[in-house]
Amino acid sequence: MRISKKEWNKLKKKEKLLKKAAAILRVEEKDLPRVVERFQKEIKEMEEKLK
Amino acid sequence: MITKKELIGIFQKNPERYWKVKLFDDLGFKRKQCKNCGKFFWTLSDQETCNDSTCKPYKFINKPVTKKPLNIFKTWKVIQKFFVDNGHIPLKRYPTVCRWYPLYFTIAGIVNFYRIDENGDLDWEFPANPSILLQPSLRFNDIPNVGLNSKSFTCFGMIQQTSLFDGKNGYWKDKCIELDFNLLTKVFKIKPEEINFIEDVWIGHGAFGSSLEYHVQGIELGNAVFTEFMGTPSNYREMKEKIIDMGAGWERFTWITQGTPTCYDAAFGPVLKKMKKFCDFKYDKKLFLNYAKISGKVNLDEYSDLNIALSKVATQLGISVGELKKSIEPLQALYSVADHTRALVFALADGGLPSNVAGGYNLRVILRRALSFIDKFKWNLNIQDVVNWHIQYLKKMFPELEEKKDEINKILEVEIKRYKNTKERISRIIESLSGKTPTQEELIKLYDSEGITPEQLGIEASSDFYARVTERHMVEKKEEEKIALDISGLPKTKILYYDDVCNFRAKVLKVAGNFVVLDQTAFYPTSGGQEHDTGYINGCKVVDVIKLHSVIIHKIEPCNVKEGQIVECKVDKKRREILKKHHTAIHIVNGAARKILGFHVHQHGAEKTEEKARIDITHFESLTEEQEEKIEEIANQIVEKALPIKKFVMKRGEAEKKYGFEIYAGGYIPSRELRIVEIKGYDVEACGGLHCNNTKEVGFIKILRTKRVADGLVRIEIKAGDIALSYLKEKEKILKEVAKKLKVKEEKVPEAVKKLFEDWKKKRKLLKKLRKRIGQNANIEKRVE
Repeated sequence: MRISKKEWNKLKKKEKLLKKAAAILRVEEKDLPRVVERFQKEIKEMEEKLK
Repeated sequence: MITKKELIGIFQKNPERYWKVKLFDDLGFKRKQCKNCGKFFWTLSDQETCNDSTCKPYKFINKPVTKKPLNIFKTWKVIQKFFVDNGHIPLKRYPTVCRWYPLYFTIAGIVNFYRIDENGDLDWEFPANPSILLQPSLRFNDIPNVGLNSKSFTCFGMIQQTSLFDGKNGYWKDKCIELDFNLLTKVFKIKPEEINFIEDVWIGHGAFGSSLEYHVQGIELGNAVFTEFMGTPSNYREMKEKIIDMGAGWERFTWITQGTPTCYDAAFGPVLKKMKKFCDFKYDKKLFLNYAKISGKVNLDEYSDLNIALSKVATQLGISVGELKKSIEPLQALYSVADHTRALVFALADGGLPSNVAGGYNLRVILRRALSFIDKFKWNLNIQDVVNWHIQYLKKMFPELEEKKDEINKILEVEIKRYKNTKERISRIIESLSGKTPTQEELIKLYDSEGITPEQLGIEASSDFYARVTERHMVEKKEEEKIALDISGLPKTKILYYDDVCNFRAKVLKVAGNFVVLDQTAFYPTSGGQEHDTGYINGCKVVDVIKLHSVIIHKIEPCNVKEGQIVECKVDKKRREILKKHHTAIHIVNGAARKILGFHVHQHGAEKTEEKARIDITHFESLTEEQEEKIEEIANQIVEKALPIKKFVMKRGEAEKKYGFEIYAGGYIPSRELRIVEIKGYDVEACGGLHCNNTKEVGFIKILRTKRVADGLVRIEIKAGDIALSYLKEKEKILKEVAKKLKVKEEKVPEAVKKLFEDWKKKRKLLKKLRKRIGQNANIEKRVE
């Protein structure tokens, strides 16, 4: 697997974005999709209740 | 194991063989037994007691031996000239921080010339013969005596006279004592009858011999060790090449020419004068002078209780122990601050770092001890000023100290801040003690866990407190690997892994349970932090590879392999390549970290696995995000430069001379020849691991995280090459998934997550509020009903 520096930096940037996002919810990066989904679900449920 | 005392007893059955030299016969030295201490000594006078400081006062105080006082620089100049004129090659000093197993610090000049190999044997190497060297040395087992007996230091200059005698080259006892006698009488003009040679022995690691200490007017100036036996006194052989190892006190020679009250006054010169001025130091000079003359009798190695140690001296001075203590304590403290700061100057300049681990522990102890003294006596003294005064004074002889000044100060700043922070915890601890005085064990525990000194708690520690806390950190102790396999009689395994071999045939030399020893192997054993290779021996899976001394042992899954059989072996090439990349990446990161953080960065430990690698570097604080990024950037620049990675074998002495002691990573066991791995301009290490041929082969390096794992140790975790790429690709996948769920572009993910979280919090709050209101309304309705 060879990769250019440009591509490498692009990947690093994405990793940083993910790290930043995971830090907001204080979860591990690998858990972020699941946690985001849970938050979305709970928001929806709360919206229903608020109606 | 025979003790030193027992060995002296054995040698004393034949003193002519072990101690008598030609000079004694030529000049008519007589052998006598000291009526006070019982030691045997050689003298030209009719004295009944020897010249040891426990038997004689320091006679030269106020009556120096030379007409002109010499400062430390002039003292060394005349001594060096004398030995050079007598055919000795002058050597440059070695670092005070050793780095090689099992020592952390250079405790004497002679340790520069030997290493302890992996079998525990001494391996000698002399860069010149005969030679003369001034070696700054560090010892932390005499801390309580510093400042008290006028002569003990944690940092002292050892004048190292060395000769390797093989019958033709070098010289042996007669010439050694003749030279030392001439140095004393002709250069320092000491009267022959004032010199004593006291019989003693030296038992070192794997070698021993008799020795003659030379004492003048109450002070031991030098000790000539005649190392002629290899092994231990109970199991030894005579060495073919015998070693003269004479160590003399640089500061002590200076002292006898100045006749100052203490050796510290002579050694620290203007530094001590400035310290006294800043502290507005006042003391009973007459009483102290009288004390100083007999202070050699105070020895806290013998008495751990200071009161007992001082009682004899107090009686002799006609005052109470309490009065004496009150009078000398501030001076002892002042001298200790001067000594400890000088030790820190050399140690930090040579790459040492105060911490809670290994040798760094001792450096923190002396720094905190010095700071505690300043606090205790409320002196207007800044410890960094003292450090800088030392550098200013010593720089003409040790210019490297000046070069490292800024970094020394930076390290001290962090350490002093840490010491001050502990003060905040002190009131809490005093409260928890509720009036009880902690035991010595509790005080040691408190120092270990909180870094709080007894002085900070206002408690007088026992005089051996600092010796007790430091003794556990003087040498590194390694545990022998426990394998149920007797390797005695097996030949050294021929190594094939440095030749990039993966498929090979070998003869089975020994089988014991799941362990197999071959005559040759390409399986790399776990060592230097690099995990072992895996693969197959005759189709049987190799699950572990261990090196025991020079024999490599393979642990395999149950298999029918027999001794004498020729087996087909195959190393897992994919795993090997990953481990090679991770190992090389660690060298690159080490070099990058030094570039960014400073010369004090040193590899304390490392681990290289298939999944990732880590390096623990010596550094005094956590890394900032910026530092982490910079290290990664430099590391990847090194990768992109496609620098050749040179691997070659070099003689130990030559390698140390060319590259310095930085080549040794923490706990490295140097042998006669070293395998050097060099990435020019960035990193040179003595390393037995497997490496790429070119930095580009490593592929990009990714720092996963950095963490302060212990005081003075920062862990950097990395992935390299394809493993790093897979890691980032996985992160990219996750980010893509999150972006999809949030229906935003990838770069907007953090923003969207934040918005999501805010939205969730807002809705939750609203719902809570609503529920509360509904609850209140229900209550009102109930009440109305």
